[in-house]
Amino acid sequence: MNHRLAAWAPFVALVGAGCNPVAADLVELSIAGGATVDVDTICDDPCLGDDVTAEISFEEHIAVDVEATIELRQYKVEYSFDAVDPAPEYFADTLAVSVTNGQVASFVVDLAAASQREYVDDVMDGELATGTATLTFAGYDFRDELIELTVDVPILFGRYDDSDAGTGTEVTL
Amino acid sequence: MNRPLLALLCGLPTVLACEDETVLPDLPDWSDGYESDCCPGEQGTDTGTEPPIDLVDFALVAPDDLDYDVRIHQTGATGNACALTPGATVDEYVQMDCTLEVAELNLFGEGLIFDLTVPEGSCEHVVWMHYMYEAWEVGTGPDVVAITVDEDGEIVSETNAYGGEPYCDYNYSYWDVDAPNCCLGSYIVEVTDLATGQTEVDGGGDWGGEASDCYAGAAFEDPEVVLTADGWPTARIENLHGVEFYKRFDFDLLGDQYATNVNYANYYDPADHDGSVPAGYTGEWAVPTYRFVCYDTAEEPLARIDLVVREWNEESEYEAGGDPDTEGTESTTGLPLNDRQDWADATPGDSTWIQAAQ
Repeated sequence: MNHRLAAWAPFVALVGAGCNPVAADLVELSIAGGATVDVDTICDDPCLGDDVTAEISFEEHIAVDVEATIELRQYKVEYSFDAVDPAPEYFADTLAVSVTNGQVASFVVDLAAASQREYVDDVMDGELATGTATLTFAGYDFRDELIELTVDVPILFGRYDDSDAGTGTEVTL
Repeated sequence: MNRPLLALLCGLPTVLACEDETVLPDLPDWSDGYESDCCPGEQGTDTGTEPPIDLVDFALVAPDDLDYDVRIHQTGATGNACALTPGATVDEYVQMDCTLEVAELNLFGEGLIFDLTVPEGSCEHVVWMHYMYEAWEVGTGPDVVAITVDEDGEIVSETNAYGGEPYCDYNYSYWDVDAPNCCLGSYIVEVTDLATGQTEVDGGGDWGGEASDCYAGAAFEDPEVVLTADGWPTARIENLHGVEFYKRFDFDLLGDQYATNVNYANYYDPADHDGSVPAGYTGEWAVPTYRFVCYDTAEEPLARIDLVVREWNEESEYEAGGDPDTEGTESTTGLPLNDRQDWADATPGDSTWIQAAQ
C-alpha cells in the first residue's frame, strides 16, 4: 500500500463516516415497543391497530447542528401474511412529526384502514392471521433531503372481543 | 417563564426563519393508500381528517360521540361555551378560562378527550402546552459536604452526608430506588482531620438530579409528547397561516398506571390549600392549566384558552351540576364517595408534595 495514502486513511475514514453523518444512521424507530400488535378486523372506532404508539429517536451527533431536525411527513404500511396471499393493498397516511438532534419523539400510527381489515377477515373467514407489517416513513432530513425509514412490526389480524378493544390493560380499582 | 414554553418560543424564530426558497424534493406518492374509513362495522362515524363539528370559534369542545358525558364551559358560567373569536390584532387579544367537567371514574377509566377548533382566517399559529406539576419537590443541594475524621480515619461527624456519602434531601432515591433524584447543583467535600487540625477539599461532584424526572401530569401522558433532551415535554405548534383546524386530544386512561386523577384533573379550590395553590403548582416549571394560544405571524397572542379539568365524585351531583367534591360514604356499601383523589384530598394545604401517591 502506498504509505502516504495509508497515513491519510484514518482521516479519510473519519470524514466519510463521522463528520458527514447520514440521517438514517442516527435515527431509530420502534412501533409498540417491538411487541406484536393486534389488529381487529370487525370493529367500531376505536379499533385495535389504530393509534399504535411509535417512537423515533435522533441520536445526538457532534457533527450535526444541535437544532437539526428530521421530519416525517407520511407513512405507508405494507403487509405480508403466511395465510393471506395476495396480501392486502398497502395503507398510507400523512404525518407531522419532527424530532430534533438528541431528542426522542413519540407519536401514533394506524396500522390498517377498513379495507385491509375487511380483506383479511374475508380471506381468513374470521380466523387469526399472523404476519408482518412493514412501515415506511418518508420525510426530510436535516439537509432537507428526502429520507425513508423502514421498520417491521409483527401483527396479528383477527376478530377481537369488543370488551377487550382499546386497551387490554388492567385497572386498579 | 416556564422552561418548555421558553424552549419553544426561543425556537420560533428558527421556525419562522425557514421560509426561504429551499425547494424540498417531492415525497413519494402514496396517495393510493389513503383511506379515511378506519373500521369495518363502523356506523357512520367519520374518523378521517374531516372535523365532525363546525369550526366557527377558537374553542374547546366536549365531543358528542363519546359513550359518556363530558361538559366544557367557560369557568364560572356553565351556560357559556368555551369559545372565543380571536382578535384581528394583538390589541384585540381575548382570553377565557374554561372548565371541563367529567365524572371521576370516566376520567380514571376512559381517559381525557376533548376537541380543539380553530376557524378559518383566525390564527397564523396555534401553540398548546398541557398541564404538568412538580410531583417531587425539586431543590438545589448544599454546596459543601463536611466530614470530620479522627486520627484513625474514622468519621466522627458529618454534615450533608451519611456514612461518608454525600446526602441531599431532594434525592428521594436514597430511600426508594423507584423515586427520582431531584437534587440539583454541585458540591465539594471538605474533610477535617482532627489529627492535624487541617481541613482540605477532597473532591466533590454534581448532585445528579434531573428536574424533569420529578414532574408529572398530562403533558407527560400526551400520546404525541415530544421530550427535550433533558426530559421536558415541549409545547407544540401548528402552523396554520389562517387555515381552519380541528384536533382531538385523546389522553389514555389513568387507571393502568396511577391511583389518583391528579395527572389530568388540575382543578383545585384554594380553600383546600390554605388559600393558596397545591404545592405541586409552585414548582418553577409547573404549568397549572392546559394552554391553547392563537398567535399572529410574529408571536403576538390573539386569543388564549386556559383549561381546567374537574372530576366529580358523584354521578348524581355531576348530572345536577351540584357539588363536585362530595365526601362521606355510600349508603349501601359504606365505600367512600370520593373514590379517586384529586388535589383537594391528595395534597391538602400548600406544602404537601404528592410524590408516589399520585
